Amino acid sequence: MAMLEVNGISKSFGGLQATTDLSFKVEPGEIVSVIGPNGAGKTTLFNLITGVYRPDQGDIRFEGQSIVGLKPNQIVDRGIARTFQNLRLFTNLSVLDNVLIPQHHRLRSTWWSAVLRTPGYRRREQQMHDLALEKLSFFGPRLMSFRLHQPVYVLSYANRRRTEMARAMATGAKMLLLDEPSAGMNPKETVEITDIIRRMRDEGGYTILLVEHKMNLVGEISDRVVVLDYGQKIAEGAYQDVVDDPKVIEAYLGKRAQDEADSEAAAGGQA
Amino acid sequence: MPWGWIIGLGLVALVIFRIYYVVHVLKARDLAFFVGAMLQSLQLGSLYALIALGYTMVYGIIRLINFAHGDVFMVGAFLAYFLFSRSPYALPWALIWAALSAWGVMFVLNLWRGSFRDPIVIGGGVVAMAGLTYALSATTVNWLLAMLLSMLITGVLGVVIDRVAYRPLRGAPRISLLITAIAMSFFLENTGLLVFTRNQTPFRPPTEWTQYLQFPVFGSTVYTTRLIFLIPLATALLVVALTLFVTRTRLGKAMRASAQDPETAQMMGVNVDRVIATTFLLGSMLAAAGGVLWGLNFGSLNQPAVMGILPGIKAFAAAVIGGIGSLPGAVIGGVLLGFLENFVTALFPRTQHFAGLTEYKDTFAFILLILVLLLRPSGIVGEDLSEKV
Amino acid sequence: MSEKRMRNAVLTLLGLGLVAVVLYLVQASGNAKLAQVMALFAIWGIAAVSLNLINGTTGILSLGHHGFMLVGGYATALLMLPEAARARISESARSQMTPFTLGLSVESWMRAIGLPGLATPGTLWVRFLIALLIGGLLAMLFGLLVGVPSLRLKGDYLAIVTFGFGEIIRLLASTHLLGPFTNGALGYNGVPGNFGTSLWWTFGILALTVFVMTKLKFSSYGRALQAIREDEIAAEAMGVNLAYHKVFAFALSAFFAGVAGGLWVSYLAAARLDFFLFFLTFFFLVAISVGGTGSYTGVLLGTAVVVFVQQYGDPLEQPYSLHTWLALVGVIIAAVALGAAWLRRSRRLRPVWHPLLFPLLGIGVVAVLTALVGSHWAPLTGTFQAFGMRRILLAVLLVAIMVVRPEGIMGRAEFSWAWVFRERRDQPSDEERAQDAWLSNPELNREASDDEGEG
Repeated sequence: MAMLEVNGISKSFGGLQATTDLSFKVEPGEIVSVIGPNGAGKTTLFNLITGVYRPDQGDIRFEGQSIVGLKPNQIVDRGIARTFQNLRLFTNLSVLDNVLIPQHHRLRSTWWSAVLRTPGYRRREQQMHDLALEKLSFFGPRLMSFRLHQPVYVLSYANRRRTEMARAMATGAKMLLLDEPSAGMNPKETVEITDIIRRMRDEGGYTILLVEHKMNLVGEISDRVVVLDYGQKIAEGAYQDVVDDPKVIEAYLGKRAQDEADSEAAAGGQA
Repeated sequence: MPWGWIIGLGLVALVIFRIYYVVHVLKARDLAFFVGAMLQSLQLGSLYALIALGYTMVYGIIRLINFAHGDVFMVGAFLAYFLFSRSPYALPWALIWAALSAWGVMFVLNLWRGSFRDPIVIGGGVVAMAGLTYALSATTVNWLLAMLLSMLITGVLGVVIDRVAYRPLRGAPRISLLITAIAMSFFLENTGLLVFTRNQTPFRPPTEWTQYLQFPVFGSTVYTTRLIFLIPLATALLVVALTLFVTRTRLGKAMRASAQDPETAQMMGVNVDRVIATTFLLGSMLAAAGGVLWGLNFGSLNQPAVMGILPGIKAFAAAVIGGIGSLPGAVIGGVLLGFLENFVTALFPRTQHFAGLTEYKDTFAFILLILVLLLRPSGIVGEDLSEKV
Repeated sequence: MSEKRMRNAVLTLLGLGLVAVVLYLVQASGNAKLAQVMALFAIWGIAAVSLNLINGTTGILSLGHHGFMLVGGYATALLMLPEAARARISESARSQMTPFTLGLSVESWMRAIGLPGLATPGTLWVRFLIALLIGGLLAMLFGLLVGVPSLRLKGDYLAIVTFGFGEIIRLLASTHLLGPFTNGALGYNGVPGNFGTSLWWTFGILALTVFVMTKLKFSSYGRALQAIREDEIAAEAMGVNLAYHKVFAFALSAFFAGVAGGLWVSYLAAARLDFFLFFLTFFFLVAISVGGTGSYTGVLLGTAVVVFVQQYGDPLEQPYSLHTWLALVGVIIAAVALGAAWLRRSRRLRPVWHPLLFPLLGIGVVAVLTALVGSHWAPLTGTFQAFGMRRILLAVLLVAIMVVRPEGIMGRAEFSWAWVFRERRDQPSDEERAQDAWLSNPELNREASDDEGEG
């Protein structure tokens, strides 16, 4: 059974049709990338899956159950977590706090047992601390030790990105939606992020849905690629196939580029 | 969208039935009473509209609910009162007030002319100083001139409040701005107690507009005053003047642009700080006019710490109900609230079985506000009307 | 780590002991004014601390706190009203209360359920505790009610709605609807006054409130509330149930506000609608903003400032001669001009002496000189008494804090023993610094080159 099934969802804002009849699946353990020109509706797709928007039509199923109409925090309970394109960390709180908060929804203690610091609560708090450190250790020793207690606003951009990803992992989700995880990173950092995403799937067992613009990252890491343009799916498949797909080239580079590519192919065929 | 019309017509029908019921079945009041109530409602509604305009303009530009606006309204009323009732002042006090007001006038002129050495700024200061000293210490002032002077000074006060308390917090989180506005409101209330009076104050300048008036209708007589002409007329004049300013002048266009998108307006060369100051100026002037008319309407002013609170909150509710950020919305909301408070209370008069709704009438505004905020936050006018400031 | 915790616990207990000793000394000294001021500080402290849960920790501006206090206060007062006072009310012609409402008393309930031992004068404190609890719970119900709009409304609008709630409760309390419970504008007299003025009761409950709030703040629930304050959307995306937590914050905050209201009516030995006006919430706002919104220690500090100004500010409101006032006004105007110049200098605005500051300074100086020289001038004879100066001062203080330091004196920092001992966990130890240097040095460590430039 597919972990995530998006079936024919559509969403419009006023007169603007952001998503039209979009369908695809994500199998457990896959890394699927969603690509497309700007304005194609990729972040809207994420918002639809995570419950920020409700699709006008269609269904979204996670592990067989419909998640349409659920609030974002309920969807996190079900097992989907996301990162944000422009980073939405809790800037005045410490790194540790940022990675503890996503675990709150799984806390079985009541508020008064928290206030009274019962042994049961203390135990669970310790477990949350341990899990936080475990998720942060994905990124090496950087964010552990003293950086744990520093407020996020003193961190460098790269460390903020890492904190955001650790945060998403700390929710206990099975599936992660990463919105442009390598935005603003130089090539070296991008390689590192690629490695981390792969490790997330291999070691962490996460299923990953990825929005990206950097094609080398997409090509390196994706099992499958879904291409969107103007809110519709125009191609799906392995990276190599999708990249040569004429519709995709047209979407990214325009019709003339497509014609040039055709004539080149024809010339190549003749020669 | 037909729903609005259906609801509106339905309400009108209900009102007509209720009037019939009260007049012919309960025989508790006669038709003239309802005509009088309607006139009263129009007056009250106009007053709310004047105050609501200030709220809606400021919110439209800087997204701040100016808690202090109700107290600016109070200051306007009291300033006018002291101008027409207690001139002449002793010289040193007249000089101090004139000096401070002249400084305020120069401050405001400086905002538009840009430089302190500008002849208009200096000239304005000198003229204001001389004129105010004279007006305060040597002569008595009639109520209309008092109102105009009060509008000027209150307008300046509004600009000073913005410059001192709100502008330093332009980029700050909204909560800080709100708290500052609350503090400003508190400051004005208590300073008003100090500077004006601690008591309820009668507001009866000698004028023919407060003379009684009666006319026959439907067989009985309606008793009212000539204010039924003055208040709606004055309100209409001010609203028309404001609308003309906002639509026909460059500064008005700049105001509308800044309300839509301050950053882009700034990039187009609009001095947004100046625009905001103008907004406060105009809003406070209208509030002062509203204050004076309020005094005329009710014949007295509540003590300063209390006078502005309820009308302020109700006017804000009116602005939201009509559609915050929209000028016509503020007027519609204000008139609607006036009718709600006055006329609905009249529809359910006190009888031997029923205590009447008068003691609840202050809660109507709040309840309607909460309902509107929860159910239709964009208000009556909503986003549909293009005229926004 | 638990060694430090032991040390901290012992130190905290010692500190509380010290406070208890101080309270004992104050009570024994017989200085009634000081005891009264401290009791007021504790009562308002409870209310301000509970307001800080919503305003500071959760980041929702709530302006209706006085409404919760009204509910709790009136409930406690009604339940504790002695027989004599009830009889007086039922005989009075203007009273709105009915036999049913007049019969609501903890004392009669104790008798009714067969515990006459708890209906004696000796057990007054037990009944007061029960009445406080009921008042708090009733206020909590209203807190739940007010929490509901908080789910749909944002910032400013929610603030107005909470303000409206505070006003509606007071307006309704005087109408025929609630009159039978509140006795309308008359209120009640004769509420037992020895609890609200008792340092032990007030400080004890204050300690409990601060304990609950700080323990909550540093727990997972507290973090969830702070997440809502920082970024609501991100919080929801991280699994925080916004509805539950917001309503929870309102309810808990309202509970303690109700308890504070109960102590307040005991302090005043009466319950009247005028005791629950908006200025109460304003004072708490000043306390929170001046002291530090994120910090409960700061809120206590701010409450101390507010109570000090309120209780010891009488000299400001005495009659003074007019030329003294002229001099004072002149000094204030000149000080404003100087203060503005100082602010401009500290913010590096040029020119420091804005042209408009000169006339302002001039007016101030001239006023002072006139006052000094012309003290016998006819227009300057006579006296003037400035009522409300204390409130003006608080309002000015609030505006000044917002402009100069909006996060308050303490900002988000809580008092902690770690701060006293200068133990900082967010700075690297020397060993870590060396390791960090190795990690960031591209010559030594070819993997890492993206970690430089951090604070």
